[in-house]
Amino acid sequence: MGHECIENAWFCQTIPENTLSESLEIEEGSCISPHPWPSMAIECGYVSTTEEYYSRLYDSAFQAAQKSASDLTQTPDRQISHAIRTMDDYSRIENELTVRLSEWLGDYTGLSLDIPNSLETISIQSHHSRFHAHIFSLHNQLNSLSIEREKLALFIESEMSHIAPNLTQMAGPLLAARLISIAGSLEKLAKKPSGTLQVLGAENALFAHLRGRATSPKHGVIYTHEYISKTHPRLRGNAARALSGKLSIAARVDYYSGTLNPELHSDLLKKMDQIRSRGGNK
Amino acid sequence: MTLFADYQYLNIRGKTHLVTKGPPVYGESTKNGWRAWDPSRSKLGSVITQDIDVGLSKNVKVLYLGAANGTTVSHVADVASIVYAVEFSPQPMRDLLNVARSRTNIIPLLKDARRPETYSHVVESNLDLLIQDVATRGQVKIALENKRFLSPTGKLFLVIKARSENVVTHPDLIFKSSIEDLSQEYAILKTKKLTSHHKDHLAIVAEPLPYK
Ligand SMILES: C[S@@+](CC[C@H](N)C(=O)[O-])C[C@H]1O[C@@H](n2cnc3c(N)ncnc32)[C@H](O)[C@@H]1O
Repeated sequence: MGHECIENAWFCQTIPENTLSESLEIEEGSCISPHPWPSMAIECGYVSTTEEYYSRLYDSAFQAAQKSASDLTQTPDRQISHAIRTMDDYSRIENELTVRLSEWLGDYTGLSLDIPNSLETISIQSHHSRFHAHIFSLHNQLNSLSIEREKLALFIESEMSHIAPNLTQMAGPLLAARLISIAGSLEKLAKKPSGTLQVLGAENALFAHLRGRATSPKHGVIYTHEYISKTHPRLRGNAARALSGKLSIAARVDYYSGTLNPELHSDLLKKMDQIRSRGGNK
Repeated sequence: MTLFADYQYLNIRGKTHLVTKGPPVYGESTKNGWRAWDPSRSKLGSVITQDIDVGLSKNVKVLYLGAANGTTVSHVADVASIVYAVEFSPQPMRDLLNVARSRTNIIPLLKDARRPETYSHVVESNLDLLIQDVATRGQVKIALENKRFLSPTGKLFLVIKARSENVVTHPDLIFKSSIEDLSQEYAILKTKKLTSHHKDHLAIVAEPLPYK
């Protein structure tokens, strides 16, 4: 029984004393042949007695089996992915149409006014050209798009606190929904290492566009979080690592237990204070 | 009546029952913490009441394949020190989890017994007893694949359900070829055709042969 084997054990890959990641390991791990795990666990210092070993194994196995057995059909996290994508599509289209409307208005009035003032100017004109109606209809479309987008945002906010309460508390409902949507599901997000979470969405130019500026591709969507954007640029790397670490724990807790654990959030706040005190806010 | 036995026979309300000690699970009759092990609901129970040594004794470590809702597993856990309970269907797993709530020596595993590599990182080696009752095609192959968990002095208790292998072949023929195939890697100690409640099932007790 060489030491190469212990790498496959359910208790080795995991953060010490963390039933969540142990459950994941029990579900996902594998090994060609069994080994005397209890004595190996004692040897490597994971536990100090056999009783302790079995009690940890029981907790983690129970949780893993419970989770996978109840996983059957519920996929509200996948539906929320569609909702947040629709919302982002609305934003993108709104942006495009706003640019179009303001260009059109500028040309039509010959003035450089903002949209509301231009619209007012042409609405009080006595002579309505045949273009007039189309300009107003474009404006109405824009309004209904933004009403629809806001309704969707409210819906996502209320749903997210059920689907992923901890992640939502820490990341805010929209960023939380975006992370789930990019990962594919809450399960997939929970199973990603925190390093991956940190750069999630980096490849996606849409979000750079949404923020109205291009960002360096090494920055994932979590860079829209104020803990990072309002932190001194020099410390953003640290902040991003800390945030993605906590968000990744939050995603796991949400995936496995689904109940809010306020301690997770206060841990994050403490950590952020520590980082910021090193360099002050921007 | 032996004191502190892990299973024994006990008269409960005028009827002799095989009993184990532990919290009740399925509405079985109980007396002083002992609970009746109903042989009509458990193939292992029915074989034990026929005085066949299946290798279940105090503090053994067990791998149980096909744990289902935990009826038999609960009795095994009353006797054994640890029971790794493998079941691949989510519905019975939920009931099994309820049994495991009151018995922390049951390690529930939602796994496919045909793929032991998916739980070899959890289930330890050198177990004393492998119990298999999966009622699915390829029962002998599963017993061969899971031999890796058994100690050289351990035992296999295997139930072959004929209809799971093939519904047209006569059960006796299926039993015969199962025993043949199993004998490649196990020494057969005892076979017993089950009757009444467990018709067309064969119980086999065997010992692992050393690896060639
Ligand atoms: C006849 S029942 C077992 C009854 C149980 N041994 C008892 O006495 O309480 C067979 C069980 O094996 C399970 N099973 C079938 N194929 C399996 C497989 N490949 N891996 C794990 N479990 C399996 C079924 O879901 C079913 O619950």
